[in-house]
Amino acid sequence: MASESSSEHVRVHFRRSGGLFAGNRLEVDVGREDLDPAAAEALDRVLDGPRPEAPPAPAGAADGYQYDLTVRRGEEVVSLRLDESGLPPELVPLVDALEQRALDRRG
Amino acid sequence: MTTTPAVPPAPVAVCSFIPDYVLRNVAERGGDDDRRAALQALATSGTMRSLRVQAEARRSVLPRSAMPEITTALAPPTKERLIRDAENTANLRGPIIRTEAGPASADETAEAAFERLGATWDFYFQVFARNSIDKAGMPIEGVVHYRRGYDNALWNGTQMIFGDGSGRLFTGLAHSLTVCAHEVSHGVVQYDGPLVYQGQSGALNESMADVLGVLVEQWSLDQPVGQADWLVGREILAPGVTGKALRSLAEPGTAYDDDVLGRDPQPGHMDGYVETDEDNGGVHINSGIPNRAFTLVAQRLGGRAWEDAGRIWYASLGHERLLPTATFRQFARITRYVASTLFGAGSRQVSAVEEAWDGVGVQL
Ligand SMILES: [Zn+2]
Repeated sequence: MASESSSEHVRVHFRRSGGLFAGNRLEVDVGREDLDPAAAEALDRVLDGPRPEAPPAPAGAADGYQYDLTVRRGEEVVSLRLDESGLPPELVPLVDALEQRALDRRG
Repeated sequence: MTTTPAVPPAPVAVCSFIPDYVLRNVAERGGDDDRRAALQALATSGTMRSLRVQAEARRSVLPRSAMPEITTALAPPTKERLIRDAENTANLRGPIIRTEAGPASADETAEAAFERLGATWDFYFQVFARNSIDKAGMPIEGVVHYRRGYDNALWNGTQMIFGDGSGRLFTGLAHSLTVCAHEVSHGVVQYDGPLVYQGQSGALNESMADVLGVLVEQWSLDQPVGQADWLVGREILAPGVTGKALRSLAEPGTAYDDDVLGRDPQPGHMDGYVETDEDNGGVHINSGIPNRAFTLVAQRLGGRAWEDAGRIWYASLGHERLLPTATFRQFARITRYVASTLFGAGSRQVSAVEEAWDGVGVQL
């Protein structure tokens, strides 16, 4: 709630694909105000830095999830593609929260 | 009294650069100790020497995997497995709860993984004389209870990692032999290919893991092609999911059709090739095309799929002409080349390979 009054509205679109099984796909769109504090802080880092390094997946790795995040603040758009085997630790709370949100919606 | 027409003698096994029949005989005589002892004896026998000479003579036309396999077979390898417990976190360095020498674990998931990873090691050793994932005796390291309700399994470059499943989509993934063998086979692809995990080369990477994964199961059941169901992950679909498995190699697109999961998106022909930026360019989707090509070869040839068809595919994976960025067409051409090297230019194996790729719409 505080974020809405102090800055432009921030939303993140989350898409999970891949994994061992092509049918295990998830997608959700969440506003910053609906995230827990650790996830919201990670989202701020994506926008305002220091931007976490996203290392490539280790050579030869397979069947990890592919995470696509698109963060929007007004006209500003930041897109990130992350591999589960190379997830920056700073983004784990955000990815976990979004993944859980998408799973809850799937039911 | 009538005489039956003379049947030409079966061709001598000109393709015997992989001494699988030797190894199988040894294996049938008993447990690991017997096998090792027998291998030691074989290593100095005329049989093995003659294989080595044959291999030397054919070096110029052989896939690069051939020589190391012979050499490996001379030094009896030791199966080495260990299982770690991630304790429902993402920690990949959790406590070791099962080792090769240690007692059985009370954790049944650890035992399930241990057993299935062992069966996979046995397959690679006995069928392809391969000493573990890296051909050099690398320990097979599994991680169980990864994260919480995790509906996935993966190969991270060094470890096989298994979730327990959410119970809504999957149950414990380590309980499926085809899944365990699929993950180990990604390790094999990493060392033999490699095949870049994107687009068509990524779909070939996936397909190799599927093909080798189902061959491990068929071999462990001594199952002829006619009895194979070609399914990956049959055991782990949660109750309530409408489907039979994660994937069907023989009939891509038919593994499931579920309210939550949707319909199996795999094509079995180039006409259905899916362009997407998800899933590293649809690596788990378009793998249906080379998967089906393999099953067409195996079904055409009959017998045991790991014998001729499996040998052609495995040797193609290790072939020096295979590029990390190989397309379906490039891989298909290598399979034809390998088939003609192993079985002869006019052989039924070459015809089967050509017809199979034609059947899935890949132009040779
Ligand atoms: Zn895979």
